Amino acid sequence: MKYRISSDDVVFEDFDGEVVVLDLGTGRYFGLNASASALWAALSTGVETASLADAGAPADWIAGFAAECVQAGLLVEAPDAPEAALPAGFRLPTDAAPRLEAHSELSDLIAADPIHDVDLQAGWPHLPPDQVDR
Amino acid sequence: MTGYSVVIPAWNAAITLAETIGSVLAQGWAPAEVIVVDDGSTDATADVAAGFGAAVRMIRQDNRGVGVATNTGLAACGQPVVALVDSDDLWLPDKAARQRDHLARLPELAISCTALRLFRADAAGGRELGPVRPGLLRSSMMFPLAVFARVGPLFDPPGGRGDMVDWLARAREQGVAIEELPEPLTLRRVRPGSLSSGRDPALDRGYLLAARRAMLRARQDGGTA
Repeated sequence: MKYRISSDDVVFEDFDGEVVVLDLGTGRYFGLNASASALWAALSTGVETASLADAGAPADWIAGFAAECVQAGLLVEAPDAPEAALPAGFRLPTDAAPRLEAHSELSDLIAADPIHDVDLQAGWPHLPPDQVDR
Repeated sequence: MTGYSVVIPAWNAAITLAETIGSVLAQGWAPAEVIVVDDGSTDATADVAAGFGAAVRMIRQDNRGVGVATNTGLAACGQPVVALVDSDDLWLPDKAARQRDHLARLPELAISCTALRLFRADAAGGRELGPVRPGLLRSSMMFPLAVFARVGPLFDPPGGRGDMVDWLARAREQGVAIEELPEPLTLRRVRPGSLSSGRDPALDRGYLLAARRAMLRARQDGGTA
């Protein structure tokens, strides 16, 4: 199976080997441990799960982590996506199973942020009737 | 509550700053001081601020970002309470007085916010009003200066976005109450090309860094790896 990132709202960055994934749409964010971060780097770019298994990643780690990412709305299955090669220098840390830790402590703060006005600008000034008072 | 300071971080805001300052000076509860921090503008921002004479105190610094400019202004405040406003946003005339009453009902360490109404300039120079949005943003905030002392300076993430997300998260972790008045007493300007407009991966890194920093703080406090 191949996957891709579910939407433009989902952004991520690698901080010293630990990836943080943020869903700007919901304000939820996720901390990935080292093994999850390595799997994310592969799965999010469309690497076939079979290639990961060939590279030595335990099948239950791959399947479990991919399912968690789909469940969290971060990845979607993409069977027709062009197949990507493993990231250069791919190495799966094996000291701990992949973990995807969900947080929502900043959700209201991120949701309040002006970046969310973009779509709204496109529709301006066609506002919902209850919002055109004052 | 004796008086309040207003801090306006401004970078290349010559077109909008006068309207912003005007809405501050028009408050029913007038500010004791208005501080404009000119963050290394290359346009006429400084001239606009100077045009208000003694009503506005200006501090100039090299361009270092909106968070650092806010810190500069907060460090210069001479009043026990401060309100912040971005250099293109506006206040309705009863905003400050409503927030004075709001703060009086809140714990000692609290941040009062108001809902925001979006607006944009129309072709005739008037205001076209938009929908109401949550107000956990700089332009709606009023708080005792003691909150700044407790939470510490704003952190400017790369790209210039997410500075208030980071600071408000830290405030909440420090036990500061953050409460929002439901009335849209703050008007937030929407215009293409402003820092906060549009999705941009390079700028959105600021939010990822704010999230990373929150997780590291939680890890430190919780003592888990």
